[in-house]
Amino acid sequence: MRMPRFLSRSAAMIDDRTGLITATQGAMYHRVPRNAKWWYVFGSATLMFFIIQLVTGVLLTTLYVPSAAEAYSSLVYIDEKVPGGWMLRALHGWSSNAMCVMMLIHMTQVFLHGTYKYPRELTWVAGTLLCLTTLALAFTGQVMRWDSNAYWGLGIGAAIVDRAPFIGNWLRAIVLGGPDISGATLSRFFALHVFILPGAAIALIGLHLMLVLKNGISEMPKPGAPVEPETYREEYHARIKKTGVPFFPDAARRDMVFCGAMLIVLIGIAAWFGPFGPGPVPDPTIIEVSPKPDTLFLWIFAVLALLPPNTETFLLLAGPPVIIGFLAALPFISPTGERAPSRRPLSVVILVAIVTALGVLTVLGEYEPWSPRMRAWTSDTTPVEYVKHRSPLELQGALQLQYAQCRNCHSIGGIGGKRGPALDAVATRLSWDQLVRQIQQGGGNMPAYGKNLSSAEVEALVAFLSTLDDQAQPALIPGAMEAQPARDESPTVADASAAP
Amino acid sequence: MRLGLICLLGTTVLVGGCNDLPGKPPPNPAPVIPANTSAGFEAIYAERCAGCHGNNGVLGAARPMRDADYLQSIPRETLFAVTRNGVPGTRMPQMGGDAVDPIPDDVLHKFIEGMVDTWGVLKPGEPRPSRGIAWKHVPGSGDASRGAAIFEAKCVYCHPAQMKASAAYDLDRPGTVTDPLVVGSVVDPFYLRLVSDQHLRSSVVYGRADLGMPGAAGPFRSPDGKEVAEPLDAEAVADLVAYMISFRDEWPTRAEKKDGAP
Repeated sequence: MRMPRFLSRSAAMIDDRTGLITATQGAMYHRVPRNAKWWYVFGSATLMFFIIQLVTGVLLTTLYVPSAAEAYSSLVYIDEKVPGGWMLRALHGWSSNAMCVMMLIHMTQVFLHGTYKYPRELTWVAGTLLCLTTLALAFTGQVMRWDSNAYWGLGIGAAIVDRAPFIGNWLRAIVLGGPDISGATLSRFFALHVFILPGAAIALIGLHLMLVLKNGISEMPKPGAPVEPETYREEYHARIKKTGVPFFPDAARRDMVFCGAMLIVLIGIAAWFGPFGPGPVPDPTIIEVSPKPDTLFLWIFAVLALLPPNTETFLLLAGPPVIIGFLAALPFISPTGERAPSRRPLSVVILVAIVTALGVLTVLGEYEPWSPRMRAWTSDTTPVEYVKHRSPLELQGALQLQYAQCRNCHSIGGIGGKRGPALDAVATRLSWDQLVRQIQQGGGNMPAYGKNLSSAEVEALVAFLSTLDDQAQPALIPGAMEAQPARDESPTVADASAAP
Repeated sequence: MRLGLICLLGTTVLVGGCNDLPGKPPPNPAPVIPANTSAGFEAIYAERCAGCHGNNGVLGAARPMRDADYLQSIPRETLFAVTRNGVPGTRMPQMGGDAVDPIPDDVLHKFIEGMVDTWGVLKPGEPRPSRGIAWKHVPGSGDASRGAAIFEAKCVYCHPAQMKASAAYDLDRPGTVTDPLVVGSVVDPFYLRLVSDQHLRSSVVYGRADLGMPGAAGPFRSPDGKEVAEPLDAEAVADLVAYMISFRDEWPTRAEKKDGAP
């Protein structure tokens, strides 16, 4: 099919003045390695999801009201009143997750194939910055919902920056736009989410793509063919000239098929699962809130919960710069040599370790109480079997256990914190005196409560704890489960079948 | 032309069908459940009270709230005040007022209403464990020595000062009792320092049906474990409470005022 004459003439004129069409054609028809097969589609898919983000995001800004008073109701308006509005939000939210996932897969593939080595070091660095930008977009996007989860995420983020020595308070004020989460916080995060971060992302994507074009798409790694900076470029260009294929349509075909499939999956997921939130309004009168960050950030909260308390501040502040620094420095640490995974066992081990750790932490974040449950002391009940057949003093001890919020760190009946040991069988491990000493003087990770509890409170608490023998397990140490001399002991019913 | 028609049809189906897709969110904000409906009050209860007062109001370490006799007897204003301000010196925290993350007073009023209306329904004709005896403790009332006699006759089987002194103590298996009703001392000075006088009176008057403890209506147990049908009257309740209170500062002698709650 031939172009009409006036069209081709206009095109020639535009190209003559701007050079755009030549540049585009250069990008479209640049030669890529023939063996660059399905491994290479993830970067394109990430870009596609970003474009979906841009389109849906721009549409959403036409409807969203970035004010603390109206943000929430404008989301409800979008969900309920705007035709297809909920779908728009669902697409935006799910494509954000999909973009992060694709990006991580893309990074994994690049890492695994050693593509970051010479001459593509800066492509990797730009990619690392893009990764951070994308995660920041995801986090700020979660804040846009301005529901209790947003509050929670912000609160934890603010608590983390607050820990920075000397400048913590100042940093917190910068992040939140004041000492507390307020309307200014939302405006700040809105500016970040719709102007600053997308702008940065677009610029970085441009740089990333420019570098990809400049240095060419890498070939599949071949064992025994290490990267030598002296000869690499010449050999690459020679091979590409001989065996390469034009990006369009040969390689682009796979990209399009994969992106199309991903798009269908995205629409399906969005239609089936709907938009994220908005969760409950952050309001003390509305109850049954269990705030939780989006899945992508769950692992961070699992880490927060599992860190030993005395290392927490250090690791929280030193960890991210070290990790980011390591990622960015990777191509300079190892710029040459073998690319094939089979010849880089250490890299494969590191990758497997990171993927496993992130996976496990995400699962833990899903199931573990990753931060203190503020309502645990009033909402998590004492197991009924620990209430029955207990003396009045022991029942007061059970109340004291709730009241002093012991279950922020300790669990009974499987409910409670994981920081300290579960207390269900504590009586088999510690004698009465040891329990008293542990409570009063602390030890291990436990603070001393001696100054905070009256002797009657300690007595009641120990009386209750000394009944927790995990269904009459035998004592593990001599003296455990023996009542204090001259004190009353928990009656054990001899004939269990006689119990009501 | 045909292609255009198909496209138009497809779009119409897509857009029109959007409302039936499973991902469409339900009406939002989810209707706020008024606290005085059953669901509303139970949600607050689960969040704020169940930890101590038990799931569904029974079998917690603290007094059961699913107790129609109790809820009908205590004035709503008292229930409100105790919930709002807590009971200093005991493990009942304040839930309203200047507490951290307080329940607003209007919600709390509705909560009390919801609880009394739901759990406080007396079945007609059913005997009341309290026999209608006044709920309120009057400081200084009752006679401890009379109380001691009543305690010996009706309470000591289940609440022996020392488990070994109980008639149900199993001499063949030390540390065990043969009767699950036998639970332990209520004249333990430490126990008495952790609870209010009102707690003692409420326990005597209303009992704890969920744990098998009778109210003033009985039946009780004689020291050898036989059933005693004769109920307590108002005077006996006051005497019993006075008797228990007399043990509060007995041993160790130093009285403690400090409450170590966070």
